[in-house]
Amino acid sequence: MFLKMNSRKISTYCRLVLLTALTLLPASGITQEPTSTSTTDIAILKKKYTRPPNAVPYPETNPYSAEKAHLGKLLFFDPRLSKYKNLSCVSCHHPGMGWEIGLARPIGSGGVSDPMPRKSQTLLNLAWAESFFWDGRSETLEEQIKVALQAQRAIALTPSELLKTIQSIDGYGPLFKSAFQSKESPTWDQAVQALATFIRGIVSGKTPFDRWIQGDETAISREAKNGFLLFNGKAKCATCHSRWNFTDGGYRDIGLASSDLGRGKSMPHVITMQYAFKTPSLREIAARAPYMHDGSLATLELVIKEYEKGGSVKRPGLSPDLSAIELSKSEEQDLIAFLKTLSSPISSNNELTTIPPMVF
Amino acid sequence: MKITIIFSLLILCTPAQAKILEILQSGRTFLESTYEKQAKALNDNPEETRKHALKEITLHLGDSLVFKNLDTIAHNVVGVNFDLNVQKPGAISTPQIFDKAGVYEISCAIHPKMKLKVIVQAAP
Repeated sequence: MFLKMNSRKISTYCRLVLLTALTLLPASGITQEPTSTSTTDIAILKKKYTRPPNAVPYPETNPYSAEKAHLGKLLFFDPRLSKYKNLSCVSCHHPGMGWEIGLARPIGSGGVSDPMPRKSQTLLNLAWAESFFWDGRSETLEEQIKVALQAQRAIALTPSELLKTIQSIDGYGPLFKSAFQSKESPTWDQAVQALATFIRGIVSGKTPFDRWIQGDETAISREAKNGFLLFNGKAKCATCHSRWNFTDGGYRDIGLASSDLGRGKSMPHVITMQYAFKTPSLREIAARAPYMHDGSLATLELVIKEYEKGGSVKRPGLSPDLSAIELSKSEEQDLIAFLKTLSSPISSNNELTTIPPMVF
Repeated sequence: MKITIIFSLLILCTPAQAKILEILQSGRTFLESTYEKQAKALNDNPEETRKHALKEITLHLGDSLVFKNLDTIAHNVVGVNFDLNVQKPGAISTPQIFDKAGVYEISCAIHPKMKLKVIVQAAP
């Protein structure tokens, strides 16, 4: 085989063999520092996860302004803007839980007797998202917000009910006027645009993993480094959880036992979309239990076990990007150690996450 | 002279040969087949791939498209009235004929932002 390869191919081949060997080492309980040869491969892998420039992309139809983002934050945290004046966006998208909530079925306006059918999703890095909801039924964040505000199990307000409440609170008038430079009364679209502007600013903080890929070798443990190699190699996680936000934005049936058709509901004739759900970002994943669209897996250990099976239920639309994998106990732990490096430190100085004063 | 005129008219009246065009799938975008050699490198560079993405293609009536998956993940191209089903990395689809004039949007069901507008021109 080597005879038919040129020198470049041979070098690539050798590197791949070494990389594979490295990912296999911990199976025997041995964890070694990466060799100098494999450093090139690790550098290539690291590059794929480099965060984008600091500038958050805002759409031309709803450009950023500090006033709009500030107003959006006030609306986001205000419980008076809900059917029973007892919940707000933060009820299901809590900054301390990776901007989602630790319930398999979050409780909204339907109360405990009629909770939401799917787990709430993180709001992190939605400025880069390409479609919204677990089933991708909204193409823009603004559209998604409109659905959540009106859904009976969520905020459950009609546009006119929301505006009536906003108008009954004197403090909101000047804030809308300044955010939209308009003398008119607040509108439904303005409220939605302000919320979207705030939400697009929810970007995951710098994590130990980010520091490591920038060159700080002490930022993460040896186990986590090995977990990163497994993530990109044997465990095949990076097939779908790719790039800096750890998602390719795709929708897949991953073989979870569930009666929810997911994206199949809106695409009834497409086999691959039956029981298909969005591939979520993995940033802040340690804070985001329980896992999966239905919150059916309580821990990261259980999630990894589920993926090792290559899907519990082999339906016709099961994603071909998924296949059974075999991991040792120590490999599973290394993977988890890596996933935990995707959490940013909590800070009381974080303007984004501190609850704002109520508007009167 | 007469023969030349008749021959020229025959050429003009003969419908153009229907073509089969190959479209690549790489880095969650559609690309023209001319990018085949660069596809792997582009796949590793999402920003660059997006710059080269094929967003629109004009076909003549009767032309067909073939989709070749050069990505590392599966795709599933769907149109208004067709579904190529799952295409694993490396797979080449069957030709999809466009025999009705109009504007069609095709996309990947798995990756909704992966879209291609197909304009099918009516015969002159």
